Amino acid sequence: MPSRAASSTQSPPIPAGLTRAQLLEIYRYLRLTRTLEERLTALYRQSKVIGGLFRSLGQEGESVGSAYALARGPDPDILSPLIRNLGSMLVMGAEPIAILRQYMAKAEGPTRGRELNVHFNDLEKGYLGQISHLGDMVPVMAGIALSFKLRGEPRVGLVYVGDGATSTGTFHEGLNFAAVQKVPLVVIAEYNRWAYSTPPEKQFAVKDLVEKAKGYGIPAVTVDGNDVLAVYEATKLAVERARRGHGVQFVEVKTYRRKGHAEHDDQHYVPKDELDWWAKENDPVDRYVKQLGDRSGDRCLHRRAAAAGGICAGRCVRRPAGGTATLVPEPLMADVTYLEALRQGLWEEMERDPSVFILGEDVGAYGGAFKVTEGFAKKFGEARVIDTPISEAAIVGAAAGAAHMGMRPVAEMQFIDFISCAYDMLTNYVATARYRAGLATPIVVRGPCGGYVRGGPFHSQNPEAAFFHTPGLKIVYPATARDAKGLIKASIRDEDPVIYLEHKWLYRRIKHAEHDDQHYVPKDELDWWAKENDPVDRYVKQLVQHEWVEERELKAIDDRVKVEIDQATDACIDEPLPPGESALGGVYADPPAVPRHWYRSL
Amino acid sequence: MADVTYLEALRQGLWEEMERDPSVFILGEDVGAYGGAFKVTEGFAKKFGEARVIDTPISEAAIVGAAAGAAHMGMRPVAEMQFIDFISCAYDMLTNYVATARYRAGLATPIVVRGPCGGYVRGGPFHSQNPEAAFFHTPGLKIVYPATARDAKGLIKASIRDEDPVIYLEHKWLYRRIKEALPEKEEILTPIGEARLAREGKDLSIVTYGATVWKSLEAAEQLAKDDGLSVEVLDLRTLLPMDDAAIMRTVQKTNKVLIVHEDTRTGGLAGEIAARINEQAFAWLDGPIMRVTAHDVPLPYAPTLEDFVLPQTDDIVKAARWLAAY
Ligand SMILES: Cc1ncc(C[n+]2csc(CCOP(=O)(O)OP(=O)(O)O)c2C)c(N)n1
Ligand SMILES: [Mg+2]
Repeated sequence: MPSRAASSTQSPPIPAGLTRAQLLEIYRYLRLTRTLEERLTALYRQSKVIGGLFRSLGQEGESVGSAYALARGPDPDILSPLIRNLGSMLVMGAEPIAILRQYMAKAEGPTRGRELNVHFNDLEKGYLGQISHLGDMVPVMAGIALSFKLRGEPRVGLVYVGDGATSTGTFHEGLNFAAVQKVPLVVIAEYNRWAYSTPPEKQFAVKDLVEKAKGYGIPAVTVDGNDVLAVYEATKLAVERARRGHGVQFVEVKTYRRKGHAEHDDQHYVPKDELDWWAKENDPVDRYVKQLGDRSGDRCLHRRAAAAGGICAGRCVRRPAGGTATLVPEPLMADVTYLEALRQGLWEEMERDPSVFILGEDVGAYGGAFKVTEGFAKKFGEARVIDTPISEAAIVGAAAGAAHMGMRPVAEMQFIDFISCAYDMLTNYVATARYRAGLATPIVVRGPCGGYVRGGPFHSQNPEAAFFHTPGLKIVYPATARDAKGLIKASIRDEDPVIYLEHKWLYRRIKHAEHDDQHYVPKDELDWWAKENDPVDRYVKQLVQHEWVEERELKAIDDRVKVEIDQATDACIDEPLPPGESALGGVYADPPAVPRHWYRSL
Repeated sequence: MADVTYLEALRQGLWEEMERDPSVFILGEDVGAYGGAFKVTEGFAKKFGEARVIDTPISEAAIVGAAAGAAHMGMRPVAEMQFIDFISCAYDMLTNYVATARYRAGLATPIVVRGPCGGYVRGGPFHSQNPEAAFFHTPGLKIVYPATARDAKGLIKASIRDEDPVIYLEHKWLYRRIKEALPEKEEILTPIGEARLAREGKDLSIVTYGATVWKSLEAAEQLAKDDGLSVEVLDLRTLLPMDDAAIMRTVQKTNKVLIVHEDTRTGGLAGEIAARINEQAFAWLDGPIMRVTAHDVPLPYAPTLEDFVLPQTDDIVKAARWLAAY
């Protein structure tokens, strides 16, 4: 029998600060969620719902309780719901009619029939629509929170993630990114015992999700997810800490998914008595009602909530599609390299527009692997030239989140080859955002591409074909210094996501070795490691000190090693390289049966 | 001979390979006791045990990566993507690690990555994708895409026995929609790399694959009836490596070619097929190579929108008429 969240036999005291009216409002949202879902179930059975239907039965408490801890109204906090967070959306002001329209794919629905179920957003009310790819919203919400931090706005982001979704790479990348950046983000991890049919024991080997957070240095608490007020209190605390600049906060809510994954799922894998227990003994609404103890009041609220569907008009929020600025690059001085031209373009845009910022690996003090952003951190500050963890999906996702909020991020891939790690984020999240959710995502993802530099298979790629197929992306690829500058400026000003490919063979054209001179490492630190902490020196000292061996034995080995290496070097130094044609073949076990070059005989 | 659905044929193929070869095993999300989101592996865990039918965390990159590691050591893993749309989360692993392993390191990686793809089912943008174009460009991968029950079975078996990584795309709209009598005794193996002539004709060729094979056959029927046109339909079955010879044969026979696919247009496979025809059979063409594809947008959810965006029989009929009259 799986563990059950502690059922509270004694209710906690009503949290300070909540008024009687607010207590009742919370109740209204609980009811609204349940009633709306019941209605949707009926519609689903009548085949009025076009796709699947996902229920949050038994989890309404954590959705409502957590969302209620956020600031609503003008410039609200922003949350990103999952399929089981209908309650959270309602708290933020989503209208039941919008939900109904969306489920039924109506033209008047918030995405005009493009997206399904609760996949839609209203940033003015404070919620961002999810995509299906689990985990992806964590980096995106990290970016939303980053925009708050960059602009000094006292706002907080909140992202929900299921127990199953904590297995995805994007969850981990996003969490770590947010932790390092200390952005105001609250993560609500929903331990509801199931991920489709899979229990937590098959998702992860830790017992509680808080342990994952702790691995990233994030303060984390576990709360009884079916105790609405406990969830509210824990989230409130987390939100306030995040708002005060204490960085990411993690709240694990223990709850239970009482319905199947979706309505088609008969839950045959769920022990019946377990379901019964959660329904009878640990229903969040029942428990809340008991806590309130005002039975006459809630009956009246019940009616009000039930009548709530249908009073509000749906609205599709779309930012106008922006036109592409045609830019005539300013005349360049003679003898500017491709790389320098790109640098100038970036620099000028950073100067022109404070919403432009740069993020990527080693782009700050180091100035980027190819020195494209050299001097930027000094001039514009570390807040606008952000050194990130090695997490391409998080870099792109965070850029997207910040862009939704009006920023103009330029994300650097250290080598464009690593853009493959953000493939899902780019093609599924970023590229579709305007079409499916009316969200502007003016980001630039740039990086060095191309061969002719002996980079081998993972530092020479031209990734355009991988993205060319995806509607919603733009791809530019300058060949001249003038275009390197003109296109980076135009890309930054473009209203849509642009992949900017810069050919590293063109960077300088003339040979100009720029090695890592380790200027970012304190000199005395290097010296110390060399003099005091060289592993070979230390090992030798140990051996000799203990008189395990004699020094001359070591010396003999030194000599032999030298000879061995000399011999090997001599042997191979003049060996020929493989002939060019040998690059062909060997990709498959059997060569393709079809002759490849018929046209030569035409 | 019993009539079996496309889904059942796939299931049979998997089952037979699991029985035949103890190194074959299955891994994926909810594939065990639950039997997979579409019940493709229903009953497998019971029969073959949980060690060979592994429920994994929701980690596509880990599923594919672990499959590759096991394959290097002589296992034959079949990895399920719950929906093929989530293969994007393993894009790096597939294109950089798996696809290059033999070439760069001499490592055999006989894995199959399979999953339900395709639209016409109101799945919206993230449960309807056709991901072939994302992988078609990567040397080292193979891609198969059955359109019939027979090939669903024959190709899964061939994919498992193949020495290289194979992406096996199964169209969820076909799962229970098409049926075919399959002999119970005979072993069905569809060779990878060979197209199938789905209908013979002489006036015009349609080159296609997946669900649009059926739309094209419908169109051909209609064109025969209404216009007296004789339309040939070539079902590619394997997308990578592509059966150029079969394509050129049909082009040389009818001299007019229409390429039909469900995936979006820009950067889709039709462009590559057209380029190959241009290179290899230009002299035989009596008209421009035409394409019928989805429009260049993420696939929308509302039935009206989805129907508009995806290629329909009518679209094929119209394009074929235009081309025939050229
Ligand atoms: C990357 C990815 N892989 C697989 C899926 C298919 N899928 C949808 S929901 C789900 C289970 C999610 O479980 P959990 O995160 O615990 O959320 P819950 O349903 O319990 O709220 C799965 C496997 C997906 N949406 N995204
Ligand atoms: Mg769960």
